[in-house]
Amino acid sequence: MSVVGVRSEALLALARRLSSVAGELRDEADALAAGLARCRSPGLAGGPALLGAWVRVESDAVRAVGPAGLWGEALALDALAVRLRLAARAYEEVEQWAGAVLAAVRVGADGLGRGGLLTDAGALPVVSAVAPTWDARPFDGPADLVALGRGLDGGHVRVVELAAPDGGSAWVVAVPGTQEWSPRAGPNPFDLTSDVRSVTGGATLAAAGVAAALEAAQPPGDDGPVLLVGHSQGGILAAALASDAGFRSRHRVTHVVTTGSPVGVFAVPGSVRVLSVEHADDPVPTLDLTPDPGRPTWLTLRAGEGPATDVRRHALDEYVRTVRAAAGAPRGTVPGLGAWEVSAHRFLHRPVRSVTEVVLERGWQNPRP
Amino acid sequence: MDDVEAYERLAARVRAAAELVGVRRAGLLVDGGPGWVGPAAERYRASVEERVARLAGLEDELEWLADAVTELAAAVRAERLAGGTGLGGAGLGGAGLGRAS
Repeated sequence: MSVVGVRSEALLALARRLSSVAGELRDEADALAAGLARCRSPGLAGGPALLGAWVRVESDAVRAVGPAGLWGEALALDALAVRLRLAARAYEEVEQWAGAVLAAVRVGADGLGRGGLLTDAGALPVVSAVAPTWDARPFDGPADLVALGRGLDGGHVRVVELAAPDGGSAWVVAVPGTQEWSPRAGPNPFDLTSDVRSVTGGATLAAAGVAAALEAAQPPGDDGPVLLVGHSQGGILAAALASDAGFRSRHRVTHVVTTGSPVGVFAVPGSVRVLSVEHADDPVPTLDLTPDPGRPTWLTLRAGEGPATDVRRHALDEYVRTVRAAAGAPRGTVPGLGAWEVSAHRFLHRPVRSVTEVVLERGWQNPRP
Repeated sequence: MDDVEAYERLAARVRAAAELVGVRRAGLLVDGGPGWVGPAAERYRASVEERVARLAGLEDELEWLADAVTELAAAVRAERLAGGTGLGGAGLGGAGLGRAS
């Protein structure tokens, strides 16, 4: 829950800065009042014009110091700071509540795991290379990256090697969404078990398998940048891997793209640029009860309106269409997207060097109970 | 400290206050709580915009006040040099210290 913790802390930090500015304005008001007190009226000896000028200066100075001036503005900023602190406290309560709910889900899943449901304990990832089914071509924008997730049924994971501008390689890993909805873990690890275990903070065989797929394609010692892209559960697994320090120590993850994924719960470091696309009427991205964190390297695009109740809006093709429309809109229409594309220049418009596709399965050393 | 020096110090103080208000106003504009969304965030940002507008007005008032105090100091100094004729108006004719508010 560290990601959402940052959010209330950010509001509190903002409130502290407002209070600090309010204090500075009050100090200035005090200093001005003291300076004004040291000034004496020129009196009638200076003539009526000087006296009149002094009277006007004095009254304007008093106004600039008082409730209509520095003191008043300081008070207004303090009031704003109080509002922020109240908002931060409310968020903090929501964060604690969301944390408690997810913890309860985890406990429930553990209980089901003892009954053989929602658990892949004891299983090993089995990675088998297969012939690529993707028509290799450069990625012209984020929509092409999202579309790379098409055709990954049956537990496929796709790794694309690109010619990076520096002569090295850049790597794009496409992770599929949920393909099996049974609560009993089967051979395909992109299932409900991985959904529940990932969102509640558990290690999953699916994530380990995606890591193994990348390691099968990327030569040892290659330090090329890695972009992880996933839809739905694929986005969850991508965010889980990007927030795993062990995975990042082996692979230089620089970008994550998710569509329709509840990923606010993952502590993806600020060094990784995240593009998270959500349909406002798609209920799936809200399943972690956690809003995405606000930070410069995390861009959440929310498209559409209405309550999150239309599961048809969760489809990958719907997201491909949304991202293509956003990227094709006049520059500046979608704030932050242009900057994200610039940051992803090692992956966009680059020639494809190789495509590796694997099928990932759960394997058990011993027969299952 | 004589009157002229007191006026000049006050003018410098007022100018420094105007600069501080300007800097802090600019800071408020860029410090909007990144990533905070929803009705509460929108209300907060509307309040910040209102404060920024008011601080801009206050900055103008303080700059004008600093000019007025500087001009008053110069007028008092000129009056002293003229020997205190009591006729008034030294150096005050052009700019005029009054203003509509």
